[in-house]
Amino acid sequence: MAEDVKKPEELIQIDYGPPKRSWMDPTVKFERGSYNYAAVKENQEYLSLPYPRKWQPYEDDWQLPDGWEEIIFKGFKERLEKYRSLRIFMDICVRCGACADKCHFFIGSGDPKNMPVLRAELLRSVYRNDFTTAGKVLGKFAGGRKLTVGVLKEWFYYFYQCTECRRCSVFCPYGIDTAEITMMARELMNLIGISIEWIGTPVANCFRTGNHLGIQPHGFKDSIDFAVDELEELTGVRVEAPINKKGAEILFVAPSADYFASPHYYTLLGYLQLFHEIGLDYTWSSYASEGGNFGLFHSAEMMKRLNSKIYMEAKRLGVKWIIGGECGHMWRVVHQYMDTLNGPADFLEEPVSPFTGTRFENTRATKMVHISEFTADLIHHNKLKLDPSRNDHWRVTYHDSCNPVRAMGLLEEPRYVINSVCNNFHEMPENTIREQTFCCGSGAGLGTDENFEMRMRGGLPRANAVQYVHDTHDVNILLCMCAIDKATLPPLLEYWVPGVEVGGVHEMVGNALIMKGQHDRPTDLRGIPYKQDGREGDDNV
Amino acid sequence: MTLQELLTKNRERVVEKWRQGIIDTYPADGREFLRQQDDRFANPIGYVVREETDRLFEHFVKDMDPEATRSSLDKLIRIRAVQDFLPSEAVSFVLLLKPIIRKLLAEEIKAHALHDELQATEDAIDGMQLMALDSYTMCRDRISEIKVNDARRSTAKLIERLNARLAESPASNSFNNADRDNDR
Ligand code: SF4
Ligand code: SF4
Repeated sequence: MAEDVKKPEELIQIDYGPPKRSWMDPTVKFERGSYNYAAVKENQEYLSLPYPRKWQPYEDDWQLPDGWEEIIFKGFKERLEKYRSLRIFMDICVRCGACADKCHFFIGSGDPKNMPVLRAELLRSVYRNDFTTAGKVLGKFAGGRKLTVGVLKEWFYYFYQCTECRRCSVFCPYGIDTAEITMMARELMNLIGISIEWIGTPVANCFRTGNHLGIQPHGFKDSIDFAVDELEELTGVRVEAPINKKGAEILFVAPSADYFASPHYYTLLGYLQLFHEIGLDYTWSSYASEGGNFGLFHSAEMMKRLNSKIYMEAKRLGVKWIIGGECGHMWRVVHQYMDTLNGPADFLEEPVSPFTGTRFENTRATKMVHISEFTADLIHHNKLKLDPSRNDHWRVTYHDSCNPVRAMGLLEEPRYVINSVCNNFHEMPENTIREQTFCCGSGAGLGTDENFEMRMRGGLPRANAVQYVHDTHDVNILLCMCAIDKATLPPLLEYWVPGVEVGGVHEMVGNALIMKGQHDRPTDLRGIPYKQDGREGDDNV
Repeated sequence: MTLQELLTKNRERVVEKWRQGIIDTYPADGREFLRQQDDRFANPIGYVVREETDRLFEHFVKDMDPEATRSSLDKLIRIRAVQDFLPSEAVSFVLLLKPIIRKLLAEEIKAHALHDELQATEDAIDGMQLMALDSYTMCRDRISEIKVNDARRSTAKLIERLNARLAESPASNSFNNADRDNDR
């Protein structure tokens, strides 16, 4: 037997590279850390979604409803008729490959099916088989594939490995938006009761109580009151934070994590300081207590249902217009879909800053202004007293969150604000910021514990760029404007670039803002004490 | 000629083969990109493989400086520890060096009667392999820690607030993870 025992070097001659198979053969293994748990039955029921059941992706039998292929076929047909863009995206890809190496999941995993062109091909092959003449006749030879359980499992695996970040679409000469293809694929899977827990649960909670953790109105009030108390301790100033105040001029909507998670919370303190200092006539709403729209990751219908809450509250409270906080996908929904879903918001007025008179014409349709536009305008008109040296203990860089930058083009405003409130700002390399920003790797419902390894892969390109400014400029904080970023970048950086914190733009505004009647303020909003001389932060920052 | 001299002379060839072996552990259709794209920000895996194999080999031939070796191994393994690899697959790229050296330099090794030195070199590769295993284990431990921190952060303020309220009412216990909360 002894001669059968392989020497180590023989052992390692095994080719670990997955066998070279045609991409058309569907087989996925639901490996540790690379998929999400299935949506919970009770939440599916609560949202009146079809075929609620208990199942998990790693089980062999997904308990698919009878005739599921037909349900998907019909749903696909319906959507091809309804959305011209979908039909175009299905037809016009010339497989030029410009998008192929632009997805952070491909870059961080080396898995070719994470190339956007192949991700889309998962759906396109079925389209070809079912809806094109060539495909119907020639099947596989024309690049068509029949929808089988294997193909469906592959859909689930790879369409829940797309964060709908749209980086790939920036590079496509035809403007094909793979994120929208992912959205359609997810809609189709929803039709047969297939979705994931970290979409189903937040959506159900948002629908029930207005925010994704399911915090009820009194809990929401408690959270805001708590922040007001803490801010008084930190600054010596007691701010007002009105909730459900009828007739206020402005409704303010922020992602819910701003009031219950860290480091989001410091951004909340920043908003509260800012609004108090300028004397904004505004209100929070305990019903529209969530900006984040997890419906976007589910279906057009769900996105509409959640988005409408904001506008219903604006109407009920009788405000003139809306300011939205540091949120990511809320802005994608508002900027790109709101008007057709729930618009026009003609019961509101075109937003005009009460302090500067600036007319936010870009928001004429939605009546909703991004807080970085609002703040940049205040700073531009010298309406704020700022001391950027209060952020000198931070050496900052800025992560363009995918949705504000690629869905609404917010490139300069946040940078203008950061440069006004921080003295040490260092950009990451050009091909990793602005329109080309790399996703955090955890958006669109993928930011779960069970999906951890996949998130680390997807976030590698982002973290790698952070590492660079950490090494070259000693950057110690990564700023961003999205609640998902603030939740998922800290673990990402803990893994790849320990020593770099994550914060919000308005946290820095809060630190730098000089308030009337403030006391000494020996610490920043995190409670980090300034050194006496020249106010440098503690060494253990 | 010593083996060390031989390795130094053939450094390019050996390292190139080694890199190829590492890239070949990824699915076939993605390999060209990993090999070709040389922008370090567009292709971090390829960049790390390129840079760190070079560095590792340099130290391997020169001085086996433990700090530098560990640091390079760590960069390579940090990536592989979160990818679709079994633990053995994640670390065994170190062992690849053995057959590469043996095959590539077979004739010279024979000509200069370097077999004893080769044995010593292979022992050193085994040592490096063990260090790789340490790195892998540390990465996986780190992941467990991060997951715990992450769960805490996601509701940090809720728990803090709850504790503050509980502290107001006498004879109550606080949730003990509030003070371990890592935000400051
Ligand atoms: S939208 Fe983003 S995650 Fe999805 S395929 Fe494109 S680059 Fe990848
Ligand atoms: S860049 Fe556009 S046309 Fe080219 S392969 Fe990608 S999706 Fe198709």
